[in-house]
Amino acid sequence: MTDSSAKPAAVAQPVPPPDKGRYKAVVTLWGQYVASRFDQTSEAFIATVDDGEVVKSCTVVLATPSADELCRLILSERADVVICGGIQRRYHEYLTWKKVCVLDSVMGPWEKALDLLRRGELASGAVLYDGEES
Amino acid sequence: MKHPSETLLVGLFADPVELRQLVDEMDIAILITDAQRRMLLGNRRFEVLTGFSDAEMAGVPCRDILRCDQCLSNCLAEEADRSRAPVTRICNIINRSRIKLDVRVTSVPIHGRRGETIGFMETIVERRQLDDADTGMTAELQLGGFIGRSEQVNEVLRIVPVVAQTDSSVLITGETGTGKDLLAEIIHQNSVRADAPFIKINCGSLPETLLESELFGHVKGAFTGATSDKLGRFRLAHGGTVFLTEIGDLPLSLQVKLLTFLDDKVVHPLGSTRGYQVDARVVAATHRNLEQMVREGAFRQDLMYRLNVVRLHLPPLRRRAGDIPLLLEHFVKSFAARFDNPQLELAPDALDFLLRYEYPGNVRELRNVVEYAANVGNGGQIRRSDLPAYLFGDEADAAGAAARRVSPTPFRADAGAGAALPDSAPGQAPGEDEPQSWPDAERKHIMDTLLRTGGRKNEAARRLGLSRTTLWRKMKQYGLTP
Repeated sequence: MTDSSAKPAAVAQPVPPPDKGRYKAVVTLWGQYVASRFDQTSEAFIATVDDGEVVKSCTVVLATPSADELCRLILSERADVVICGGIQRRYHEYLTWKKVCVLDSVMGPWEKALDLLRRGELASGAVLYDGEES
Repeated sequence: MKHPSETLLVGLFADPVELRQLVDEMDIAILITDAQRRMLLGNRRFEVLTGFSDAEMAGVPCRDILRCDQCLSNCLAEEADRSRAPVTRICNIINRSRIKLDVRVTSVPIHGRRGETIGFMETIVERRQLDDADTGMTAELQLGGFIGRSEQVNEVLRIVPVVAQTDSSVLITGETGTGKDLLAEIIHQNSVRADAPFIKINCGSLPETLLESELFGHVKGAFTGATSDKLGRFRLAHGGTVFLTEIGDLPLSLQVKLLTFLDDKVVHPLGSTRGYQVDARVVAATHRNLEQMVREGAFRQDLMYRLNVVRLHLPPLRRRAGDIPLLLEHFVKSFAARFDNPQLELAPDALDFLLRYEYPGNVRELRNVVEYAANVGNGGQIRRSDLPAYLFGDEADAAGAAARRVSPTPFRADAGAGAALPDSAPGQAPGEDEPQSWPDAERKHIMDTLLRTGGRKNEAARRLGLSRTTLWRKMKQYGLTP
């Protein structure tokens, strides 16, 4: 049965940084890349961006990969944006409902993703690999 | 390097063969990567499974496309490479639509002439949709999964195996909530196409312009924003079944195009001069009266005749009231397992009421009533007071005039099949007035509980018997969030 899996993804539009000028972003990490699965993420980069510049950042390592723990971290950090790979619908809906903008299915180096986010050019489904880079 | 769609397989057959064409016809999802595990090719079934198009996946590490739970910690291909042998594991993946699926993945290393690993081939077989695992959907898709012993249901079930084995178009009619979608899936799962995709399309869910592209696909440049080719649902369903639900809502212009497809089985994507042969069975469903729509000029007569090769009508629950005890028993058991409460049962007063109620929303409403009561009820027994308030309108009790004699024995989740079934009784005529809707009742109940708990959501969730996540989701759904 593949009906639900066959749904096409909506055409993603770039998401501008939150209006308030200063916002917090969480990027799920797997080495130098955005982790391909939200629930398998054991490391997250938390950045505070002010006027397009990262003014404060830290990396948090989770005890064990867990989507619930990650959601808790994102909410406790009062993050405005999350950049991640594949995420289950229930977590996507939950975070969106909590007014967190979720940019999912992002593939490639996380620094590049953060850079695009700062410029307001990152969209869900962005592929950020360059040639041999992977 | 050539694009995979242009890659030729040379030397195997008398003439070179397009690799893409060869793998696309396979009814199993296949991906091929290079030695660094970057995507070279994913066949059509793989595109359907993951939701990523060929253009999106080209050159991307397979972990970002397959998104298997073991990709980051215990890569199959790495193990296959180390052991120089195929590796098979049961995993789960998250597709583009954010659905988690249980799959069986086999990774095979490909070796060059000098024995070095030059790539990997993986096959992925979908086992089930994990998000639906707790609803028992898999079992329901077997023929016996359609619950009912009434004459009308037996009549439908009697011909379903025969219908499933044919390739004729099927039109399923019936009121909302009678199980049209389930029946369509049962037909697919019991046909020779069971291993191929079952693609469901809601004809009323998209505007006309988007729907055409969604159904039939488009080529790059066909319209503003068409930045790449799109296969369309019919081509994605190649070898399987296309289920067109709410066919009565299909715009007239697309009815012509659908009719053309049904006649020659060729899909013409938007902006393309080329047609593509597609082997897909069409099953359609509607709650509308198509004959009346034809008379009003809202539905093409020729299309109705074309779809109406086999017609299955699902009667409303009020016309097969004898099935209500079976359905109640089934859903009590189902929610007992889901909520880990094996003692869940219907108390005699609740059972008596539920057997007399008319269910304008049919099986869907009955299921929702049981789910609500199982959530709200305190402990193992569902009492009449645990049922949604909207059921107790004047009409509901008036319907009791034609009440049936029922056994006072409660249904228990741990009882054997049919252990406590009362005798079935003839159906009732439908009432004229619609009761308050289920969402209204649920919204009110959540609001009342939140007021009583002073807005403390944890406490409200506990009192409602819901998880916090479910409560938050429902609050969002009903606009109760700050």
